[in-house]
Amino acid sequence: MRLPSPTPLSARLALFLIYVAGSAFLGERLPFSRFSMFSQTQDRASVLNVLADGRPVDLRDLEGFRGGFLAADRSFLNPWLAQEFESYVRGSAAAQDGPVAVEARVCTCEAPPAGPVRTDCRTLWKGTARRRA
Amino acid sequence: MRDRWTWARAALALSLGLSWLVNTRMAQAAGRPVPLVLSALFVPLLPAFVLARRRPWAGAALLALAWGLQLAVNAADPAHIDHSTVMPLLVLAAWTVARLFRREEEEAWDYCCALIGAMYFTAAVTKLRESGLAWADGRLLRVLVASEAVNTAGPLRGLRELFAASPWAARVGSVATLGIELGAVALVFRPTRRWGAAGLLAMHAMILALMGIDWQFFSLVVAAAAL
Repeated sequence: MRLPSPTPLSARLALFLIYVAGSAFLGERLPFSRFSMFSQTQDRASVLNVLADGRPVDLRDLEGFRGGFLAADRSFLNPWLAQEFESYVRGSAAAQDGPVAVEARVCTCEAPPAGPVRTDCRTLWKGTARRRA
Repeated sequence: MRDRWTWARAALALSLGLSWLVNTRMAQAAGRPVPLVLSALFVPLLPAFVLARRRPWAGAALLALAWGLQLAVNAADPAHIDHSTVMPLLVLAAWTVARLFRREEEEAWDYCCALIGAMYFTAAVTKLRESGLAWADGRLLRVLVASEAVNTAGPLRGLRELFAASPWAARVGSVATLGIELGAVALVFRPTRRWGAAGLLAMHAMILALMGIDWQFFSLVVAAAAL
């Protein structure tokens, strides 16, 4: 037999409603938050795409970069991501070419109301590196 | 053998520690100020919280430190909120306050689950406030999954490309996400709590498979609710 709940349902519901209402009215004021991740709809997204010998890799699997930045439109790329990429490549630069051909691209995906998603990739950085042991 | 509330507290503490470590690393990479000395104190203290079953004051002291850290980080950068830290922090706070007021563990856990449900429900309300029903048209999900597919090698790439190519699949995924988040109100009620938690875990599994986002911090909190 299940014992009756020691917590009045009204107390739990009140806490639930206080948090929902508080978040709606106060916004990002701790302890309230609207949890707004991915809340704004969009039909375009950009990502950094790093290719090693033509295959996508995690940037942190590479080191010893030698190459150069090309003029690519970075306006859609997350500024934090672009900044981290630049500082990582500059912080792990090498004086000589590495064995792996590396290309970093800004890829923008766009979803029209009808039809397939269009993906457009532009080269941001090109050069060589070596795989992290 | 430990009781289920010890496991629940362990899941919450692990979630908080992991999210704190990850967010600290991200904040450093982005050049945002992080109180490193306090961070170094914070993580090793988390096991104390798990074991502080009969010592709510120990948990309260740790939480005060955690809240101090979070408020310091937010004061330094008000535009940035680490949601993954806020959730376990708030749930642990509810637990500690309830225990300080000498509530039974089961009752304290009821309040925790009500808060977890409220946070997911809030996320759905925010989507509807900011985008309306257009959020459920699937276009956002399609571009996010397509952009993740670009960086994917192996069999998952095919799955992601297939999903992004199908407006209907994306629409179903979007509607399911909204439905599951609004259905998080089920966590308030004991008989439906596990169903609500199962839905949220399924949603996180879908996000991981399609978008590669392993929000293990949130999943751990939800798993704790399902215990």
